[in-house]
Amino acid sequence: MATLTDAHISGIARRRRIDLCFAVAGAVVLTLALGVLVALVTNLAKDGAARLGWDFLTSFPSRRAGDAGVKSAIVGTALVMFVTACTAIPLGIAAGLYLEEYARKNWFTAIVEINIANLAGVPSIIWGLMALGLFVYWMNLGRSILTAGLTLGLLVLPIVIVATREAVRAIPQIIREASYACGATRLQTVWHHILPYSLSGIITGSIIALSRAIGETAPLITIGALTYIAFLPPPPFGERPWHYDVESRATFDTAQRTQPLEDVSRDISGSHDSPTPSLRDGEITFAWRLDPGTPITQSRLSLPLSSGSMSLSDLVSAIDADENLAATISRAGRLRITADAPGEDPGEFCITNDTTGLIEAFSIAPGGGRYGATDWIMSEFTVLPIQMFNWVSRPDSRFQVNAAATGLVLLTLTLMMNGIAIWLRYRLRRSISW
Amino acid sequence: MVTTPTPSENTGSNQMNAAADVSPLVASMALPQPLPSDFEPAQSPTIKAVAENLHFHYGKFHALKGVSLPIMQNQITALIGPSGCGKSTFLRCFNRMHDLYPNSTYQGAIRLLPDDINLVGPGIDPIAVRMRISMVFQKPNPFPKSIFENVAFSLRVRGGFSRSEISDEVERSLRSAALWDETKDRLHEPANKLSGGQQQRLCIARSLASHPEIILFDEPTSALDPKATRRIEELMTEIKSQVTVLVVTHNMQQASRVSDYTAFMYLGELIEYGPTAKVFQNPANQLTEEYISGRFG
Repeated sequence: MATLTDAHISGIARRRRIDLCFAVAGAVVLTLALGVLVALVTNLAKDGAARLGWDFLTSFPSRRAGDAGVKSAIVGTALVMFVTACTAIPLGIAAGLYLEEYARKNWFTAIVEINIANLAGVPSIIWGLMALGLFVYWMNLGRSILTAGLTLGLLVLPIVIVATREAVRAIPQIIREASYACGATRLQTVWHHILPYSLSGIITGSIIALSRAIGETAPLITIGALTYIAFLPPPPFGERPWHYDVESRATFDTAQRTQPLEDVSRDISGSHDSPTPSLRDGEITFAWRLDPGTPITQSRLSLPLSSGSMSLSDLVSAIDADENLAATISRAGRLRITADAPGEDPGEFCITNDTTGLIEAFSIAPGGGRYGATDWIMSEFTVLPIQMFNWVSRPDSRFQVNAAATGLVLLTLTLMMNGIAIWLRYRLRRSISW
Repeated sequence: MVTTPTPSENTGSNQMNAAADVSPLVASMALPQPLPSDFEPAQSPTIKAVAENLHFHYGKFHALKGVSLPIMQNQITALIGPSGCGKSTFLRCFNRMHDLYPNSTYQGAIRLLPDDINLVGPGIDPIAVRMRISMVFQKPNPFPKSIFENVAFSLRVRGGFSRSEISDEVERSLRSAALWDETKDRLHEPANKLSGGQQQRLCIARSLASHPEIILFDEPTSALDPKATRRIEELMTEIKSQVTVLVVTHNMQQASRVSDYTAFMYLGELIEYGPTAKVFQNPANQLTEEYISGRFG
């Protein structure tokens, strides 16, 4: 053995210094990263904490910032997450188990594997575009909770698949061999062993996937989630507050989809002579697309039935004049009329179906039986990040406070989900060792 | 029951450090010793299974090259040979374990008697084979479930057993595996709280629960300490009245201690087969003699 020279000794000191440098650099980077996070959360808390309260959580949005809350957004988020979980988790587990336990390893499964990894990296807006084409236009699911849940489900499906595969792969091969040696079939092996032993990893991965989905905004904007929802989806078997009857129909010229609103308005109002409705039902929203050259993307048009034609600006001011109504025109040319105060009296409104150009005049009457168990799934919705996005984009600074408070709610939900994931991982892993 | 005299009994305390230094011990074993007059078992054993010109390929690799070998009923047959000689491959043909992996091909036959079915034949369902021939692995591999559920699993996969039948079978199997007294008060505790030796006995209980005709042991003690090894060896000797045993071992003392018949394999071929005492004391083949005397392998 070579003797230890002074050069070696001083070399130790030098190597220790390098070691120390790396440790310090690591600590600094970690502190910076955490510091930024803490600063963000603190800033959000400072802005939003004042607004955060029971009222905020249990109020519908409002055009008055002080009254606005996130009730519909929280319910929407919960329901959309429910649909997402119901689709992404079973499909993801099944796909992961199939790929690990059933599929032969060949070029085809290799391609599938590579593409699952790629899918996990597809920008969420692309998923939104795909969902718009597939679910909204082709399958006619509308901009519903179902569409949103399926879209986010597809978005996080690769995460669940990858988590499942990782968890399944962590099970030693001798456990599988033990099961097969007992005469078990593949399904018995998967059901009695593979699935239970990988459950902690699968659940953790699924929760992480959902906490990713809960914050997604882009694909939901793409499919046309509303930013203003002042109602909750119909509860299963809940009593209908109102129902509508078709009173008359008029055909709207689909060839001239670009006609200005006043023409549409005239067509409608000219189709029958109803009295001006008192539109107070808070559950009605209005949307119309005016961009020339684009097809009518909204399937619904509802207007107060006034006599004669009306210009767009007149219409807006007429609606704004009503103490219960507000009208806005977005830069995209979308007219949104909102009824602020839910009232007792149902009104009347019109609906067009953009594929047939049919305009129907409805009368709305109270009562009308009960909702079905799954009516809620086709309901329109909003979710927390979209509500937040909407408020952030308002010029009124009081809405910014609302946005910050919504951010806090969203952050709390995400932290809670991740906390549950960590706790479950700890709890379930304890009982399983090889 | 016939006990074949094992030469290693003469070597006394050498057994414990055998792994450290094999050659003097093996040299003593190789001394020609007079065979006892009752060497042949009192009742001549019947053949339980017979491999006939068995070939096995992993993809293009020719792992078994025409192995022909009888397996005697209610006897322990040891498979020895250097690493890579194909003894585990041969063992795993018996319960069609290779079928779990792609590109495995069998040629030839393993005929299970008395009904004379070819275990590796094309029309035979591997699951049906595994329900008759169970296996104990190199590393104890209990399921991360309770002790009870580990043993009960062999029955649950079959279905059609009542709760009381399952619990009776679990008790019987644990008794056969000499584990009942240690575990009867904690049947519903996790199996992985048991020691390594207990876990391996639990695996033996699991493989006994289905009343197999043959149990395959794939180096069952290589992960265990000497004391636990001794218990497993005793257990193998005890259960052979119920079941035919086929054991792969790297430990030649183990082969000589527990087995009735020994097969020596080399490079995918069977080199020598015979009663254990004969193979160890008076090997017919030069290779066998070199292997058991520690000159290669």
